[in-house]
Amino acid sequence: MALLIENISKSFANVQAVRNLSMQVEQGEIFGFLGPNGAGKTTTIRMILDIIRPDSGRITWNGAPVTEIPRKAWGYLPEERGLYPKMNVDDQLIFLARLYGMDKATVKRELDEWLERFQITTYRKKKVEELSKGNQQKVQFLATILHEPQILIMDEPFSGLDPVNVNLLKDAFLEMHRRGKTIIFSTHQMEQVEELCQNISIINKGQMVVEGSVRQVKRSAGRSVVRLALDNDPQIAWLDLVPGVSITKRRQDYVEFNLAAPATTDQILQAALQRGGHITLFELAEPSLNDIFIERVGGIAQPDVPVPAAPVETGMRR
Amino acid sequence: MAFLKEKKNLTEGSAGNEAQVVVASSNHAAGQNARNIPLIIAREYKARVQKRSFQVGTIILVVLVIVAAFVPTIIQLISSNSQSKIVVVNRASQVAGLEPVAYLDTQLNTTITATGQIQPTAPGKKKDFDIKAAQPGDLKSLQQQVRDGKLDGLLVINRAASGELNFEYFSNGSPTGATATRIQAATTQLNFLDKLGRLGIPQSQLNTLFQSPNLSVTSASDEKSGRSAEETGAATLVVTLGIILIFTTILQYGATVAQGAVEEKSNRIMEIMINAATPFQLMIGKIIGIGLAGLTQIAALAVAGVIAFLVQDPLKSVILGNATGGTRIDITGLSIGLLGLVVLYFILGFLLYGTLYAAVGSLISRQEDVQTALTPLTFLFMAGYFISLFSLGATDALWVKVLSFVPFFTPTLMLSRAGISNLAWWEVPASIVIMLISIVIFTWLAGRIYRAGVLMYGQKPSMGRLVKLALSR
Repeated sequence: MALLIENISKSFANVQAVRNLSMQVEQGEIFGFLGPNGAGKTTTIRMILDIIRPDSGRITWNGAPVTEIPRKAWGYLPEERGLYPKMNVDDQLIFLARLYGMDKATVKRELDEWLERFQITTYRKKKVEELSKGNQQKVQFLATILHEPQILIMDEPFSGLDPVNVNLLKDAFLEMHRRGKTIIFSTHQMEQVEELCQNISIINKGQMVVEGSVRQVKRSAGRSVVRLALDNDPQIAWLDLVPGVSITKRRQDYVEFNLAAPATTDQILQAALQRGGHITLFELAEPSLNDIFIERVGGIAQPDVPVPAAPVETGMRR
Repeated sequence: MAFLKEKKNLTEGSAGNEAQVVVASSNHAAGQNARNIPLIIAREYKARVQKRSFQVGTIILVVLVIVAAFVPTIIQLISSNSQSKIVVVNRASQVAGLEPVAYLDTQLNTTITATGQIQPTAPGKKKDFDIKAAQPGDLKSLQQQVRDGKLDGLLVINRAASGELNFEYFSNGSPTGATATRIQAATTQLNFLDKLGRLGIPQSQLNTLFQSPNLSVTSASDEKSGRSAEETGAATLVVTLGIILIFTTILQYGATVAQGAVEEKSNRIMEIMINAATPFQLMIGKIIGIGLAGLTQIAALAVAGVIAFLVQDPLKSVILGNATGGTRIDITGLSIGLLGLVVLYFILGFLLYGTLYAAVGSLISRQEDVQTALTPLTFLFMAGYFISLFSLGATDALWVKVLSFVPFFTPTLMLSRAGISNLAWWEVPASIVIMLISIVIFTWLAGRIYRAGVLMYGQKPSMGRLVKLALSR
């Protein structure tokens, strides 16, 4: 019982957008689908949704090829948001839900409930273009879930929202999870991934870079980090001189470093005490997903970064 | 419509770094044509009809149609109120045994019937001239009345010592004006009768001298087409208005189709729509929905026009006291049939051009580029329009006959031929079949372009690309 992606590849003209990508999303889980801009996420998502077809490989949902899955099963919140600006909220959402095959009466019932929940009942007869950005995003969210899809694919569902609205949508998101929906969640906010996702995959340049459960991924980073804070010596300059220690971050509140042989945690602790340090923090931590993400995909030139504008200099007329 | 193959070979040598994202056309939503297309049609239709600009525009056009329909009546109303008051001072006593004042009254107040016969104005109808006799002694005061504008003219009939009649006409009007011309004609007759009378021609023969001859007029072109003059007039009017209506409506609503496709792309609703429906459904729904909005406008204009036309006669009889005269147009089976053809050819023409507009629109990603991209299409359409207007005078020419079967020109050209000359029974059905076939072909081609275009951003559409996309596997 899962969404199974097996060895899919897709090329456009002379760009290979996805190469030999495989992943598995279990039914009912929240799956983090991560990658830098231009990594091939949108292309992969479109292939999952059967909007475009892979050149090779296959995608199945519970054993059936996605080409045979009714559209009603899918809910898609694209990264690029869009609604009909001149249509009112009610008409818009009813129209979309009916395209997915829902009857009008059922949609209306569902809609009443959700608008209430999102506190936008008063806007239901307003044109979408008259709504605030946050409210537009709530409508967009509803457009994705109103037809009760089995699989939700949400690209950056919480971006651009204030903390209150983030919580509101996060609750709805978790509600979907409780209702047993399978959610594929794409974001650049790694804290959200750590908070919400069971399994993740990170792709880059159309290929799988890291996959597994969040915990596995962190462990597989093959190292742990140590955080140390001394009340009377915030910079802890002597750490640089200890063999096997490599500093990763020097923050105002602590210093973070990797340990390798011959250094051990005991040795560091002893050294700190010997030097008369007042220890306020000593922690053995896993690296954050953010670090792993940057480490694994960072530094690689990204394909769709815009070309820097030509320098504006006097006498540079063409 | 399963023409999507597993492997797509879209590689173009010169394409550079472009990504051609061709949407799968056979996905599960394709099985929902029956459900999705009506929903999309309804949305597109409502979106246009609910627009303030559509409503205001339609109201303005309806008002214009009604005003235009009433113009002949209004002109007639104005002209019928002007009756020329002429006073005749007769110093010649009898002329050829006739009373000159009474004679002028009957001669000046005549009407020409539809068949070309001259008849005295029927009793009860308003006369063109109000002729009154006056005494020679009042001449000074009568002249003053003309100067003051109380009288339109003063006619004095004198007889010279030689026995010849002479006339003096005193008026405010121009000596070459319509009234003066008719006075001149009447006085010429009077003079003629007088001379013949003095030559001794008997009274009884003089009476019949100026009776209008028995002349029957037949138009060769009407005879050929088997139509009456009124029918031909109505047909020409319907055809001319029909061509203009078809042209402007397709041009306007075709651009709306292109704009609609661009809008969906530029505000990114396409990303969602493409998950719920297929590009083909979106395209067809858009063309039909917007076409129906255009048809609604045409229907509103037609209803307004027909009603305005039908109330003309009752209205005339109320305000003018008569119901005939003015522009005579006979609404017969012929012009009703032509109206049907106008609607039919509009629908067919819109479907054909709509597919082209949709295909071009799907390739553009910014509103600003719409006009530029549509220019070639507009030229194609303009060509058809001008040929049609030009063909009104040459409907029997061979090149007009040939072009009227070319689908892009059929709606206007076949219409003008049907209205003005006699078609063989098979010509209209044949043109409809040809149009239907080309609509199917162009819908198919445009559908292929559309599904490649809807997710393509930032590239300029060119004719070459259009053809390439339509023909690519």
